[in-house]
Amino acid sequence: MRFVTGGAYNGKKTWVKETFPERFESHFAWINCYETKNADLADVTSVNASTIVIEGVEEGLKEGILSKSVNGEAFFQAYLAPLLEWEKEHEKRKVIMIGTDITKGIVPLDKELREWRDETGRLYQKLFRKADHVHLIWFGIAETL
Amino acid sequence: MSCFKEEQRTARGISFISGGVRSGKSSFAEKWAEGNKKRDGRLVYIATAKPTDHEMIERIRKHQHDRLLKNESWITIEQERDLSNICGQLRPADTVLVDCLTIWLSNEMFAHSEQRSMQEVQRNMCEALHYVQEACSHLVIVSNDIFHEMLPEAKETKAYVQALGQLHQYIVRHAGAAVKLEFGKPIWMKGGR
Repeated sequence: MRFVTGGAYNGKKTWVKETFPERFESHFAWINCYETKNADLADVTSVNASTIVIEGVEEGLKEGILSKSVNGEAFFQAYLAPLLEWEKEHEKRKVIMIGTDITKGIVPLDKELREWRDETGRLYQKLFRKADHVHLIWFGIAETL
Repeated sequence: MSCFKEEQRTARGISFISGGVRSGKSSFAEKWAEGNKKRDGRLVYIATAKPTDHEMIERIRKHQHDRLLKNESWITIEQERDLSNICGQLRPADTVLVDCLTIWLSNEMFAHSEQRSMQEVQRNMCEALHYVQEACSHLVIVSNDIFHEMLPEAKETKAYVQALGQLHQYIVRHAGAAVKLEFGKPIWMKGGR
């Protein structure tokens, strides 16, 4: 699994598309959590694809927190761990997770937003540990950690 | 964005310097500009900030004072928006420093007499950068990194963050050198030494 992170509007999605063009010629599933409900994440592994991209991981987590008050770990286990299992089943399979770093601003007044921000940090630590490659995107330029 | 695709010219001689507040980006950018000054060229400082309150006046005064103390002499042009208007004042060997893109964008978005779409604002700014770059020898652009927090709820502020991020991506793509400042330490992301 590749984990691609960095600030908002830094060109993470473009970087993924430009760096691995062969993965987006055919047989890929691109899930944007800003448009898709978490429930649909469960079905994605049944798609005939060799590449699965989850864009906006932080938004999926936000939905989990607001609707079911899950934390980062529970969100990971419920929605992301199955993708990693799917990836392991075949050597050609690849999961790419894209998540915006929202952790460095002012502490939000709203309790749920605070929780979301905290849990995003925890979830990203988890993704760092689980990933084979982590890329930090800075206005289109990647630093590989 | 349409202006990005239509853009055929490849800008040369652009340096981009970004970092958080008080990261030392302005003083680094000034040193970088001075170090790369052309023998026959001048150092031209484009000040985009308009003094609106006491703190801002002090901030500007400090920047002006710092530039005065330098061995190199700077010429300052105050231009809050429509940067292409300054091209007539530039000479081909000049080094031009724009400090900073963040304020310039907000002046274009929120203090411009014309009502324009975000695409138009961005396209005009990209074009202005190319005109300035072509009118001088080296263009140094300073900007703030404001992208590591939750996006603002307000529609206009969110559009501002998006526009700034897209401008940063565009400039980095066209820059010969791109530098990230972390607490005074320059990290070379592209080109440079």
